[in-house]
Amino acid sequence: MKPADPKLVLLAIALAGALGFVLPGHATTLLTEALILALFALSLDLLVGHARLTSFGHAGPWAFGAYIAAAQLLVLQIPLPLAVLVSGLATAVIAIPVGWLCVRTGGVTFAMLSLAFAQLGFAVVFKWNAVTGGSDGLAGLPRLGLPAGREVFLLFVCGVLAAAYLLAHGFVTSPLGRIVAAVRENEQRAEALGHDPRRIRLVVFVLSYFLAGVAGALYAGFAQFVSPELFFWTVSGHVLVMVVLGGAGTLVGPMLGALALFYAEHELSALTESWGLALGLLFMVVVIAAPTGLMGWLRAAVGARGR
Amino acid sequence: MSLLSCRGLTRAWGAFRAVDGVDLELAEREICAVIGPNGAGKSTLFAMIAGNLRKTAGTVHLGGEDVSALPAHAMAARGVARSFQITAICPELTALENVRLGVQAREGLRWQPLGGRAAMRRGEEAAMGWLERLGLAGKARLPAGELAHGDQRLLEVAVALAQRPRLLILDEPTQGMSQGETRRTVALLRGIMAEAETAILLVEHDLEVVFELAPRLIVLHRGRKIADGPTAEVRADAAVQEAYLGGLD
Repeated sequence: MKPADPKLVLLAIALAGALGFVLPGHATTLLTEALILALFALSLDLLVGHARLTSFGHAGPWAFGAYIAAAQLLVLQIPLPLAVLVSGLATAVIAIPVGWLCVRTGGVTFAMLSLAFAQLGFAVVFKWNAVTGGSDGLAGLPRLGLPAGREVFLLFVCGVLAAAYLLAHGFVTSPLGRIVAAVRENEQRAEALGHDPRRIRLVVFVLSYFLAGVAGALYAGFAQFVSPELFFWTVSGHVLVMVVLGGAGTLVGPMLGALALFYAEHELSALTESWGLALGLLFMVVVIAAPTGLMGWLRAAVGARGR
Repeated sequence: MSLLSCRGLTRAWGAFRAVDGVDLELAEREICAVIGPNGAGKSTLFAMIAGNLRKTAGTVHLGGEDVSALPAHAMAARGVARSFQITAICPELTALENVRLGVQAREGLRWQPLGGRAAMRRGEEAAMGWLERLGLAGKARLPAGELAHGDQRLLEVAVALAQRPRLLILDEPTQGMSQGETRRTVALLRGIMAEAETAILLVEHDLEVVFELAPRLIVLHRGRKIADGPTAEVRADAAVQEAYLGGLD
């Protein structure tokens, strides 16, 4: 069985959900946060890995989704699952004009434009005190519509992650997803096949922003708190590292990358003050030793054993 | 009525006119070669027809429709397929997937974001057929970027054929091939052209290839059309042609 077999991935997510019933409370909370980040990384992989559009601004849709969810939970008091879905859809809608401007070209222009929009979001929530709470953020978000308990919230996150993975996997193997691959590989060829590269890139942009918005909304429900830091550019850098670490373009890899980075940070920060340095070194070692990321490594290992 | 009708096609960069007032008519299923020395404007002319390059002046009609201002993807959607002077394939996708994308384009399967397994499998079968026709079946599962140069050129032709176009534009299909590869390619193309239901515009440097493949010949020189007619006649215009092909440039 290949490590990227969808059935295996769904099984792993189900197992993670079941862990909530056996792990101590603190560990369950950690796992929940890690899986939300896995969803965030999955959403970015559609852009970076599948469409090869390197975004430096993925904090944008993540934080936008979180703030939209916060508003719904505080003002409308609607159930969290509904708020998560609406937040994703709202992020997808905003992604249409943003994406239209960003996907004119790939490369550095795209990276800078995506960063600029995330920074714009940061500036807006930071300054717009009356609505967003400014630098204080919005606290005390209720988790409505879900039974209490960490293990329940973990199960909910696992359910969303599984659905998101199925959506992403279905997309990249669909006729439209294959056209995205063609645009990535050779824009001139894609045009000669009758596809408008800009529109195709916009589609994958919107899907990626939808999933990032869902992830951000989950995070708002998880932390029960949103603040402008969610928009900060280091968040964009962080999730990009997860994707590269795990293996861009594999969907599963970036999810593993998110888990690996999250837990490595957690363990290292308990050991030493200069955990950032240790993490940087670790990242360098992985990139040099396994340029295709953890996923490439895993594939090679499984392949070698199979032979 | 002709399939393709170009009037006064012109492309200028400053004072330099790469293509200068070229008229071109092509009937359904007609095969026509365009020759001329380097810089004669052949690729520029094709790029304008296929919508890859804006026209400074002139019009293009395809099947009676004015397509002068359409971009390349809209031309492709109207049945114009092409290969490029510099091979344009998807290097990380398999040879089979490259051709399958051509089949998919033909079927107009575009905005389906989920599923489509059955259609994809049918597409693969059709794609395999094209690869067999071009002698690439054994390399179907290789990433296209790993094929030899000559095989990549053929793969690009296979992709274009899989689109089953009304108009097929081939820009130097044997470019960079060895003599043996060129001979093999010409034989393959002749077989395909004999039964293809498409008009073909062909740029070729290799005159032997042209004489073998195209019943009609157009000669470009410094952006202008200087001859257009049955290949035998244009060829027999030996004094002019030899002087110009051999001497002037």
